[in-house]
Amino acid sequence: MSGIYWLASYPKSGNTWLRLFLESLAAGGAAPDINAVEVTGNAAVREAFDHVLDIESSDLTDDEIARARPRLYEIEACTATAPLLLKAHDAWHPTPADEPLFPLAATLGAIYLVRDPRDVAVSLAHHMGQSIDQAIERMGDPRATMAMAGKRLPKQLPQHLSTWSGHVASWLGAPIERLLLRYEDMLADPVARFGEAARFLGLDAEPDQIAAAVDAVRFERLRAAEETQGFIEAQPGVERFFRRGVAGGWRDSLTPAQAARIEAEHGPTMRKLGYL
Amino acid sequence: MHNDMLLCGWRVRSALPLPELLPWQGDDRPVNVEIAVGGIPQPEAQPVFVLPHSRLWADGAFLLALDGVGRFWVQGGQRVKVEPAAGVDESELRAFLLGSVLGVLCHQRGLLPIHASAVRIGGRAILIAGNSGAGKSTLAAALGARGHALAADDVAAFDPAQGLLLPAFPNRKLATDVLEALALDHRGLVANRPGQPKFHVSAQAGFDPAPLPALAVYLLSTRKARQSDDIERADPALAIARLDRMVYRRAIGLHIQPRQALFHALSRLMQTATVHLLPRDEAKPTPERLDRLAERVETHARGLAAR
Repeated sequence: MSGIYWLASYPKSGNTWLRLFLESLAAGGAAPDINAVEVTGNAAVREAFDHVLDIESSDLTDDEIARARPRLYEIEACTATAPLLLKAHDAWHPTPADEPLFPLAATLGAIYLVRDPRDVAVSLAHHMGQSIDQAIERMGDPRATMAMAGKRLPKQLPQHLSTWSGHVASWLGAPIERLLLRYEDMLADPVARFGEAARFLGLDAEPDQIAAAVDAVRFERLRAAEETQGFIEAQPGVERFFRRGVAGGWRDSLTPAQAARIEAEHGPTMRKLGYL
Repeated sequence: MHNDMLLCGWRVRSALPLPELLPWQGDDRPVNVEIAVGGIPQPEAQPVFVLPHSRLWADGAFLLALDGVGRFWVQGGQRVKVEPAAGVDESELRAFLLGSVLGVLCHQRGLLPIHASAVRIGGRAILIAGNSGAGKSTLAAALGARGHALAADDVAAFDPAQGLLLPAFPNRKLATDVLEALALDHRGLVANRPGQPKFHVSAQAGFDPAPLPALAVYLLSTRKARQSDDIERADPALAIARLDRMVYRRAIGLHIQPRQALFHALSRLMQTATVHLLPRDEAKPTPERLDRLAERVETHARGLAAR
């Protein structure tokens, strides 16, 4: 019996960056194959649900899937020989059976990544191929759910996000070991922050290995890799996943009214995290 | 007089209507599979394998339980008992009868169920295998639009003793966007589960229950942005491992059939069928894209058959 570390975040908050860092770190600082990530997984992958629980999630309702997901993680934690690292975009919320989606007994801890919601809005709009206003609307919608069935079956299981503030509150209130990382701090001092993440996950790494892995996943490198190889996580039809990778880009992308709306809707949480 | 039905070449007698199946028109052989309602046994013995929805006993008896849908008992490859939950729609029972239950029946009967759709091309079967959402039924339907009969949708039963694929039943499940691209109206069609964007579509044209030799297996995968979409032969050393991942109800099957039996069945399949990787675009299906994909697979399969 091992357990699971959740790499948790609202979308577009640096999760992929952290995962690629961990990929590189495991490979001694080599450049990761951005399309073949193995060291970390995704908690909402349909394939894992289907194979482990030996049932077709495509034959289940969203409610049935949500009820079964804690069992998936329990089985995965039980059968793993080393801690599992799973990305999660779901809010830390109870399932319809009123138990934690991520079972406490299977949980070793969580790294919670957070980013200025004004930058998230810009990034999310590009990622989803939507307008910034639509992205802001989504970030304020308590029912917001990723990978909801539309006209076809999404690759991922449905993930309830809640609002941006609700997402933050849910994870920061979860009764688990936790490391909070701000995207802006990861940009400002990546070696220190990624080093903290590695230590939290119990990874034994020398400072020069951390530095090498940080260097291997520098924004320009990831962008160049996407340019030549494409990136499997980019939405179809969206030009690029690794778009800008900066803090404060919202200043030249949001109208004053858009920024004001985000600040009004998420002010208390933004203040708590030092964004206001 | 019973209205027996045809499934994988078996004579099926069912207390539940199964409109997706064709009526039995074969000889007067004894019934192969009987589906009854109610009377789920309660074994005293502990199950030997337990998953959230599934339980398996030492004699290979299997129970699938879904709150709000029902319970399904499957034994000996020939007896199925269904206990519907109150208020369940019969179509929901069929989603599991013609899915998990069919898969377990195959394992209990020593068959190899592959998570694949199958299409008849020139008297042989091609299997289109992949995880849920990979586009198996879509490609099979696009080949159907080019005149190639369906042999199986989602679960393809291979008989290792005969070395042949057993055509299952003439029905496919298609997502709304594919129905639109194929100019089919989803109004009036029965959904896989109420509210799901996936519907049952009859595919009786050309359906023939006679077992078929397998020509090829195409493994669907998502095409990466800059990757070529060429159909490539899978490295033979890896092909069996990749195919092994496509065994339907694999975790349960491994507790019903010996590992060696499944491995033998996979190698038997690969004696006649070559395994190919088919990277597929995730872009929105359009009539042109679907037909182009189907045409490429058709040309590829014909090339294999001509060898």
